[in-house]
Amino acid sequence: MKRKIVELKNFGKTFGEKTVIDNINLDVYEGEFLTLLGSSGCGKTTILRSISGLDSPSTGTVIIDGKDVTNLEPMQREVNTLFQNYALFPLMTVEDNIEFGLKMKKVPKEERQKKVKEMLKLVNLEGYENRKPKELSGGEQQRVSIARGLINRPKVLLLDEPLSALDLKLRKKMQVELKLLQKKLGITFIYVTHNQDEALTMSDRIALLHNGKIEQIDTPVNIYEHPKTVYVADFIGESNMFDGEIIGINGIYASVKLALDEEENIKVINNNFNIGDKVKVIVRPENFKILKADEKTNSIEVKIKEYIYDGSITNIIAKGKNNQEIKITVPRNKTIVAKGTITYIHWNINDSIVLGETNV
Amino acid sequence: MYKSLFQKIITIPIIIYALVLIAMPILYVLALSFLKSDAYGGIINEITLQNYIDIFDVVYLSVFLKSFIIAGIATFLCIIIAYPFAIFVSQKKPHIQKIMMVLVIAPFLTNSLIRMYGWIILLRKEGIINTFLQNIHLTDHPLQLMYNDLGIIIGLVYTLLPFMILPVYSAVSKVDKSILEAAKDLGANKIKTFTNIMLPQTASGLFNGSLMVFIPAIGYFFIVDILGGGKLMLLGNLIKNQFLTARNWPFGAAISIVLIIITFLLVKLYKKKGGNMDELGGF
Repeated sequence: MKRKIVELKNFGKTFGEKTVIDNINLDVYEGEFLTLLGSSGCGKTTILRSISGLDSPSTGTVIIDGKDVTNLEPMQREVNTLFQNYALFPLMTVEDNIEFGLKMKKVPKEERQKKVKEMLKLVNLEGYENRKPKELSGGEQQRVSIARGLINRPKVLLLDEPLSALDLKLRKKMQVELKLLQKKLGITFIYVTHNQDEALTMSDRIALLHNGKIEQIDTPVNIYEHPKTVYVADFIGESNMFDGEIIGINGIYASVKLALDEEENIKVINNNFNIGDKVKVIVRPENFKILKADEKTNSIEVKIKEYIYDGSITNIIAKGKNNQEIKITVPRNKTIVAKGTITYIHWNINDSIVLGETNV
Repeated sequence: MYKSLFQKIITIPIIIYALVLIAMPILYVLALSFLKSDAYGGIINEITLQNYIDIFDVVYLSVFLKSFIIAGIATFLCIIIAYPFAIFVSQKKPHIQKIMMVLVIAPFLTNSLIRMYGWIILLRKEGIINTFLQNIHLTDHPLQLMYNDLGIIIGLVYTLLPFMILPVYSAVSKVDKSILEAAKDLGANKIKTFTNIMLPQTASGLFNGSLMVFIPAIGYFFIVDILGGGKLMLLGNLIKNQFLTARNWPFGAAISIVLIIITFLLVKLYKKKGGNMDELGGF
């Protein structure tokens, strides 16, 4: 069993009348990369600020490394934060910025200088000691803020959308660097973002927040392939959602009639369903296979509307019988059938996600 | 082309204004300071440096010194009051901030001379403050709150405080909140956050405010006349007296020129120290 490094117990936060976080429990394990994912205003930054001590929760407790820190000042907590806009001290040099945390801890000068050198090496900024933040590019400022946040060797590093100000290419590069850095140092990272790609790429676990609650907390693979609620399925990645009704049970499988075309040939995994249950069948765009002819199970009739070329993949917009838009993704530029043709698409039973009413 | 011509035309009144109402009077004062005066207040067209030599009399030097000390104290008190106030205001909601800053500027709507007479009602022996202090038995005899240095300082601080508050508030409200949070997060307590982060970042606002308080504080003769009771002589009323009472215009002009030079040097020194004059409009 891994050791818990941060625990939130019955944690809640209200601003005036508005409940931002509603009584959540969250355990973060030592050395893991946990991402708090959610749309803006879902309270993910509030959680982060309560762990760092810059805000305090309205209810519940915050425990860091077994110690209740709910009422402690930020300076008494062994966590550090990477801010969204880097928040570098504008009048100080790179060296002074990085050194700041050690200075506050009254670490002797020689040790400070040694550690600053190590940090500069770690983030590849050797030779930048005497520059001011405004003389650095966005990516370099980011590195300084990483070095500054890590120099105290915090038990947990809190990252508040640290890459959102960078351009796409640099962001991708920093994602990998941050992940490698985290594994190398073994420090627990709690990362806040609204960007699902970032969350999927970097995290060991993702906590998806919605309406002040944790909708699902799981590994990226499970979040993507086995979402527990419709919201999760919809939020993470592209998905096609079909309304349906259970019309037959056959052991581990169940038959579904889709509202889309009244076909009765759809099979899904039986999730303790009863006949007559309303369900949602969710299929990711990349799990469709375009067929020349109808197949007996798990296929629906569609009309191809549009091809959108996107380099390594091609996105296809199609329409079902009841005019529902269906997104299909195929590798590279595979235009199997002409635009406007009516064709069939098929998916494997195990590639569909089926959620009952209780998961809505 | 049309636009640049238009731009030239609309700047002409400003150039005329600057030349006629600012540059020419100063040049006139400069010229005057090298001339002689006769015993009856007239001016003799004879070039001399005597006016400048006369300034180095102990009597006048002590007026300079005293003026700088009083202006320095007033500036210091303005900082002490304005800085916490600016931080307090900057933490309020934006619309409250606006209201509070309007209130800071509001006294300018009344003539400052009239406001000085208002202070007499407050500060004199039978005034509101003394009556109050005696009523609550904090003192059994009236305190001398005016017709002395204290009165002058009260008047200067009161009049010039907005000139300190405005640039300091502007500097304080520009400090990014997340930078202060970063300092806290890295283990700085309140005092260290203030001395390491807040103070260096607002230094330029403090210097701007100090210049805008210190320089007028040297020259505000009417405050010295009213609240000093005419018993005290500072640079502002020394110059005024030379022009209006002693009728020695050239000597008054020489003192004025020295004051202008000192002011200029202060600004230069400030700029050399890396100060930013933007908020004062430049040069």
